[in-house]
Amino acid sequence: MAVAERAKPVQLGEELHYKSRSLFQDSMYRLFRNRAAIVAMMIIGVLVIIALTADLMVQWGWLDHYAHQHRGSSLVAPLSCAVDGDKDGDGVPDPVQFCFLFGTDRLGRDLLSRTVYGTRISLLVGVVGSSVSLLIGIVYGVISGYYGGRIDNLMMRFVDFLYGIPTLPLIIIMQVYFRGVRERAGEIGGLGQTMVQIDQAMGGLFFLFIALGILSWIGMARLARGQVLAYKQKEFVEAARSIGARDGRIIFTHLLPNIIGPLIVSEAMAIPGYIFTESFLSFLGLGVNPPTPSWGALITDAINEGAIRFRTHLLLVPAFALSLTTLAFNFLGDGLRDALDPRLAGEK
Amino acid sequence: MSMGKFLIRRIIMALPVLLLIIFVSFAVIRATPGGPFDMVGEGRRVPQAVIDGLNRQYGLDQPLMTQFIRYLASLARLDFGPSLGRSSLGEPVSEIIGRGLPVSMQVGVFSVILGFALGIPLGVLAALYHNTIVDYGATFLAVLGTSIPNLVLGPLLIIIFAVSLNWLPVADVNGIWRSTIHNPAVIFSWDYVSLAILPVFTLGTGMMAGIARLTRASLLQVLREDYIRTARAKGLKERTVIYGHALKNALIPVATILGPLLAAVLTGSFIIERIFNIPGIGGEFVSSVASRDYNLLVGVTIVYSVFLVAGNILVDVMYTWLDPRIRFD
Repeated sequence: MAVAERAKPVQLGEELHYKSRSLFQDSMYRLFRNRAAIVAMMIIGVLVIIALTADLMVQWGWLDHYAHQHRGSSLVAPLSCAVDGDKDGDGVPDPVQFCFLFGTDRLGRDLLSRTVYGTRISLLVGVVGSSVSLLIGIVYGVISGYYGGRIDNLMMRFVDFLYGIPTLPLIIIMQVYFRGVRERAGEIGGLGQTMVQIDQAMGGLFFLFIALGILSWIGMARLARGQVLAYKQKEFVEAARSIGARDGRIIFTHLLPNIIGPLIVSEAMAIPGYIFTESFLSFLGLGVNPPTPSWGALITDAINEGAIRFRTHLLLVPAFALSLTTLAFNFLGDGLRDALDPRLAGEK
Repeated sequence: MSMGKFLIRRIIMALPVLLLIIFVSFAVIRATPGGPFDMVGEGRRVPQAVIDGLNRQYGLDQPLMTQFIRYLASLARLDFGPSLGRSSLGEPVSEIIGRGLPVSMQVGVFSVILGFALGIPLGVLAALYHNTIVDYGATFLAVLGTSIPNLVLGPLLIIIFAVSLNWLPVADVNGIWRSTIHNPAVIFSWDYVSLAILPVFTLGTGMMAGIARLTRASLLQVLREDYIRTARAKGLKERTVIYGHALKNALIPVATILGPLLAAVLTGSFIIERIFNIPGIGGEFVSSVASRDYNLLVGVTIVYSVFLVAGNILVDVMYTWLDPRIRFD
């Protein structure tokens, strides 16, 4: 332990100045010594900034709106520019409107802009997907593990039951249903219509989150319960209870900080999985609604447009973004695990 | 508890889950707007009378529960009902599945074999040369394998090997995939190998990565155990220590990956079969969704679910078989 290494022999008569470090600071210290994790965090940071500032960059004229503002020709090569010719008819050619760094897709939309907006959508899918699962899973798992007994038995039987359900066919069927409902939104009741409107405003993400989230929390609930069971018999919990701490206080101030580490690690590792699932659904035509760009939708467009033989970059650009993100989250997850639980360090 | 009892209990526990997934897929797809006969007439609007007639013929005008009970009754006779899709109307679903499933299984099984054949040596190398350049290289390869989705790797391999280099055929022009059902010897021919190599490689590399990571972690842990120190201390050759003592135990957790692998084969089959135009069950599922072929969709869902459930039970059985310390309970 870093603290122990620093301990010097006690010198009597002199005041000691130790800066004590909390558990959290300790793990951050370990995390920041892991070079791969730092690079991963930098990559993720850049991606998040890109995702957040996409609209600003459109305002500054660096990017195009994802549903084409500046129409280029279909499948333009990289590094070419859109010229509208002479629209106003004054004999002088109009200035260049917009340059497509990565060229355009079949509908003449700027690939770079769509990839940047895709970053926003895909990261959102990953982060919201895993947060929903983390939240539901923790609440369920902590209740089950903490209260134990018959409640625990009942709740875990239910989880065991759900665990047997194959996730993927269920997600597909639900997305088919949502898609059908969306097409006939006029025929359904008020609540359904509101949900369809929310979904349309989010470009199809709302229903996607429901479909992804419906079973994703199960693994998390089991993990959280296991953690609670491991910690709730520990002496410090006993001590807290003996001085009269209520359940809420024990859970929130004593148990949660101790159990949260492995849960966060497991969610960081799961983020690429959600992004992958979305791209998989997009490939089946069940992902986000066009023209909303996710990386999966872009990859699918590239494959389906039949132009990848001479415009391979249409596939490679979003694929690179997707793979880089996955790599980054994997390394960050590894780093976080080593940092939060030093007993496991090195046993990747 | 004996093995037989354990198996029976697990299967009984799995039945309600299967029943639920059958009911959910059955009910949800019927609740989805748009029926199987809406578009029968080549995109023209079909007269309502015709749709009603077809619905009556296939019993779709009955209440949901009546339909469901009838379906379960026919399931008990292993009859998945008639297909309701446009191009295969009336054909038994079991025949469509019987045609596609062997093809999908071939791709899946070969990919799993490839995954283990590449993944275990890679993981062992990484663990034996822990924290050296070999380890970093192997780990990087494994992480890379998990980071490139099949969706990308498949088309890329097609572009490189089938289109640019022209080494491999782009499409199955002679119906090789289907011919394996009647003539299994076909799989040893170059015609088959040249068709299968890209999809199997695409699916297998993803698995290789997971297996390699797991093998490495597990072997590293085992190498720290006391009995390994004992084996070394009594003067056994390093080779005997590793292959005789360590590896055998290190591979026990690796067996558990079979569960997720089955799921990966499943996901893979949806994507791979569309990208490589393989006439398997995953492609049938995808088209059944679009054409609202209720019976085919539920039928394929059942097949998939049975596979996943059986896979999970298999993992548990393998665990106890490989590690006598674990008992059935």
